[in-house]
Amino acid sequence: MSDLSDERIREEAKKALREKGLKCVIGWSAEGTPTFASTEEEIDRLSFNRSCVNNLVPYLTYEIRSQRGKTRDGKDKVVVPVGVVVRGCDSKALLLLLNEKILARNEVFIIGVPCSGVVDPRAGGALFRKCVKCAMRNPVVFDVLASETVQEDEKDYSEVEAIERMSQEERWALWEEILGDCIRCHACKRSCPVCYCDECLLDPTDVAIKPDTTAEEKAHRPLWVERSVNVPENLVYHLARLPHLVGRCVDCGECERVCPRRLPLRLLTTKLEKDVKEIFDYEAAKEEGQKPLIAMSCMEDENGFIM
Amino acid sequence: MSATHAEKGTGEIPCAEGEQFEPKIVAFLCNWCSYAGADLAGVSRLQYPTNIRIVRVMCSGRISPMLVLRALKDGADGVLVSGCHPGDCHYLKGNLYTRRNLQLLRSMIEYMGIEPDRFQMSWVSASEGGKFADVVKTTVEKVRKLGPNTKFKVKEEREGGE
Repeated sequence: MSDLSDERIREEAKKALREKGLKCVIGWSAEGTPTFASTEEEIDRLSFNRSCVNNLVPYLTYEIRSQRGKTRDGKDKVVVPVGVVVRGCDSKALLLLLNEKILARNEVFIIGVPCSGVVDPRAGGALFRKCVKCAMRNPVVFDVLASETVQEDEKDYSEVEAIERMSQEERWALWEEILGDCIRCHACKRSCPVCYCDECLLDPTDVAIKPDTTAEEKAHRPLWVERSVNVPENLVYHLARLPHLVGRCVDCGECERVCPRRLPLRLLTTKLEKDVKEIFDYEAAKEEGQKPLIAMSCMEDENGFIM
Repeated sequence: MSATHAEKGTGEIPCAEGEQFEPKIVAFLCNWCSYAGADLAGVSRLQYPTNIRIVRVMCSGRISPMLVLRALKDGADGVLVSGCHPGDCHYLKGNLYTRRNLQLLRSMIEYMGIEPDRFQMSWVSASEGGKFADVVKTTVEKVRKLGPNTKFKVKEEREGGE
């Protein structure tokens, strides 16, 4: 991208830092490293270019939620607003969090950057697969836009459709190979912008321990997925992650990007998104104030396979 | 959970050469409709296969996809979820939420190459003892055709037998 948008990001960030008293602005440095800028000098390091691959929304969620709590007199603590720079896909995740009331609109200052794709450092200069054909290049929720909007493509389901056309044995062979490779490092759920629970039922070691948590409580947590790494446990892990993403996954591709084994995890989430669209005519983070899919009363749904 | 854990110890149903495979099916029935329906089937002395192990839950809305997956993982050959007809739920909407969730789960199971027929769902009201018997018969037939559930087993166990 041009220096023009960099200038604009810095200018707006500085203005907001002064006027709105932001705690910091989360953005990328010119090398693509996530950067927390809380002074004007630090803001001068912010940039956006093709190497800015991280989704910054999880950092934002953490920054804001860690400020929440009660004061000694039982009042809610004041949350200092935080600024963030988002691409199109990140802004969708952010909109979902706003819709789910995890973040409030006045707690965030959003600088949107229309994006025409970022480069996969592991693919030698090629664009990420999700970026080749992208239906969410322009931010959907923002306070200021750093550059002109860009042309978006149609959503591409060709990879998913190719798998759907396979026979059942072929599909199992494909997934067995993929799941056999998974080391269950939980990076996919850790980096997911819409997975914000303090403790996760898919990770037996992930317990939110408070001062009053007893040893008994720690010992008696249900063990939904065992810790051994093998195909069946990996299968249960990946299948169980999906119901939590129903109508919520915005297909930002962060899970696939962080996977150390380079598993094509977007094949799962894209299929889920496609199903949600086809069966329920619902799209995650389509507009502000949208209700969650699973929380809607749905008498008119098809009975489908149900006897 | 508890039922599947209890069953874990019994292992596979032995299936000798030429003998018919008897699938083991975990059935989650809601307290207000399907469980009463199953009761009625029993009281009316309707015949249905004995392959199902019933877990009674207060509402089919309680069935999270985790329960289905865990049952399959712990050795069930099939899972049946049954609740009240839409609109008849004792808690008004429980079965509607479950329908949304589990429909997508089934589609994802199919997508990952697991036989979708291992997971069945039905609406059975308290007065439909006959329907319950039919549902169980169909489920058992479908799962029997598919054979033992091997995809949720570690490969060595799968090949070496138990």
